[in-house]
Amino acid sequence: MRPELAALVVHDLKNALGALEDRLLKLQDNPVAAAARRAHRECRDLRERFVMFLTLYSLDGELAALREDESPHEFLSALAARLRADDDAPALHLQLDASTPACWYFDARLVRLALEAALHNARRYAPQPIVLGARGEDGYLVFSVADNGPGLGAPDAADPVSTGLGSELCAAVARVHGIAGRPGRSRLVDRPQGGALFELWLA
Amino acid sequence: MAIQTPYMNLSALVIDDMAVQQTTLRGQLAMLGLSKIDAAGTPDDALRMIRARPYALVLCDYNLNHKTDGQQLLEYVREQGLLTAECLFFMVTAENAYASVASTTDHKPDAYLLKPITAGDIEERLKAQLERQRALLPINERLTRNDRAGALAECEKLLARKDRWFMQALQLKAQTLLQLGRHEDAKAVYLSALAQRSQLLWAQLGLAQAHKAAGAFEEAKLVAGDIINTKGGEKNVAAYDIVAESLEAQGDLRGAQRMLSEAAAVVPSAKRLRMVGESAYRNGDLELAKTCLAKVAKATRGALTAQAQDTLSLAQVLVDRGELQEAFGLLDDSAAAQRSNAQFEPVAQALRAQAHAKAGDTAAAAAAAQRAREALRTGKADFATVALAKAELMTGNAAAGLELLKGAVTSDHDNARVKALIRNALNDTGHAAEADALIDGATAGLTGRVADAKRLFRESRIDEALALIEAAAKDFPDNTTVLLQAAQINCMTLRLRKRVDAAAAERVRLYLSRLERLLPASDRVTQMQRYYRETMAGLASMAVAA
Repeated sequence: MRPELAALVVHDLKNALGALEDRLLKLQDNPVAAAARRAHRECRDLRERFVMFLTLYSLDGELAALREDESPHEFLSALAARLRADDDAPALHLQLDASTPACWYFDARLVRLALEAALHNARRYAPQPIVLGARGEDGYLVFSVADNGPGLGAPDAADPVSTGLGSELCAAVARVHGIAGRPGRSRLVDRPQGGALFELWLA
Repeated sequence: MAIQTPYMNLSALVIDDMAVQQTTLRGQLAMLGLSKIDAAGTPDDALRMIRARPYALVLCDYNLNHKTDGQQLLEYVREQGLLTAECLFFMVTAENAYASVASTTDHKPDAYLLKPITAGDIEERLKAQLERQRALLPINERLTRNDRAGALAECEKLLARKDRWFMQALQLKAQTLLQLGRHEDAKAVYLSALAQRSQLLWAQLGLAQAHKAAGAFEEAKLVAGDIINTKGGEKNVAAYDIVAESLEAQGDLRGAQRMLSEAAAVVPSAKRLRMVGESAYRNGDLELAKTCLAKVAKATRGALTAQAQDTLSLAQVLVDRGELQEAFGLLDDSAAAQRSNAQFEPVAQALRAQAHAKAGDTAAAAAAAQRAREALRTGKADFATVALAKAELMTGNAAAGLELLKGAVTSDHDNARVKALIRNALNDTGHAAEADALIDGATAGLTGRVADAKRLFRESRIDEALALIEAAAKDFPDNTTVLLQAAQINCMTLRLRKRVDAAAAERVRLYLSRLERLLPASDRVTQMQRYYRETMAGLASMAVAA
């Protein structure tokens, strides 16, 4: 991991921790369930970002992927269920194309981390439903996250993922999902109809 | 009222040496609705609990104590058959340990959980694994009953559904074909899996195993070597094992030792070091044998992975090297721990006799040899017999020693590993000149009997052939070559006479079960089992046609 990126991420994590501390302090005076739930969610997000950071930070060379036989359908359903559990979760549609293979070899933990980073990014802007999708194409399993937010050119809010942690993680996860001359890849593009589209191509 | 969940009837065991982490994991399992949750803080406690009752789920931390880690515990309980087939074993690891743990292991847990863990993480893996169990149950049930043909039929049913379990069914089908000795069919399945997905590790390993089983050792080495040379495959110890076993089968014992050393460098576990130490000893590399076996002894002292044979092997190496005080010290230190092991002390006495003889104390040597002679059951192709023979040779009882070694050779005359031990024993005791004559002579006697039986069979003197090979099997009940031939000649007779002979079939089954014990997971035994099955199936179909 680049040292300047590491420094930025740690700085952001520190700020997020400060915000959480502040929220917990307020909760002491005014213990409201909704505020507690929000603090809990922030704490969980923070932990997830720490995990992303640690996944990349100690990286000497490539990530270690343990690619197992997984069901893309069950994998996405479980991910969606996790997201929908939040009380302020955005509307989320699952779109599994008929071409999606019934099973595929990938590291579910790493791919989840990458998709969570993309989803985190999408839900920051998107007022409308996010579409979490899968398809089979050209011998790859393709996971996608589509939003109808302002697209890539939009100014970034102060958010840790915008430091590049998310995109660096996605690229690292894609790299370890290639086989024999067919590299894995990730891409983030503007959709013609507006919004952004993230794709993770797993060989 | 308790909430109904799909997991409420599962019993679980949490293994973690940190009390806080134990409580957290228990709490998370309770959140999923599990009500029967035990916890263990040490590997020994865990073993006691696993022996006492069956668990549906074991949640084990990788870092347990400095003697035994979670992986070693998993290997131990799986190898000792302490877990039921349905028990799920989840390994909990920290981020920094995961990479090395996950890529190198012999036995894989059903899932890895990376810290920090949430109840949701556990539930996701539990749900997936229970679904997998359900889907594969018809196959596994038949495999448990040893109904491999039935298991194959169930694999076909699952494959026809082309669903999420397709690749798992394909893997089980290929494994079952290998166990049935149908390596050509197994090879075809592995190749079809690789055509669907190149570099699929289980298919590459399976293909190498199928080549080895068919005696195509060069191909086996090539495929296993490819795994080791690919990125991420350099830590795959199973691939190293296939290369080492192929080299050994080709007679390249040094090459096999080198491969085992490389595997032990990748995974420096007690089990791996033991394999290198024993191989080095057979090859006469005492320096390396000592280094490895001493590491094993140190690493396993007081741990569940400790084996009495490690102490005896190390003591023998020390005696051979003339490090007598060390050898005495080691045997004395281990005596108390091995008091309940009746096999240990007689062999230890044989080693003491050797050490006393080397030190020039003839009286003590004779006394120890006497004690060993009285208590040891000999005549087997094993370490104990060779140790006693060596003691006899060193204490002036050359005739008795040579006789013991001759007995060890004839007891299993094609066992190259024991022959290497015997040759070393003769070389070390000044009988190098007699080695060839003794080993070749004892081998030739049996080879002659087996060859005679085969010749008689070819000359259609079937009853004489049977009588000869049956007598050899009676004289040498542990001789694997004789047992294999006895099984084969009986099967050939059944085929020739085209009628079911219950007594002959019973004899073959007896030989095969003995072979299974003597040569576990041997390709030759699998082949013979297949030959027997085909013989009986042929006779049955003839009976139906008639």
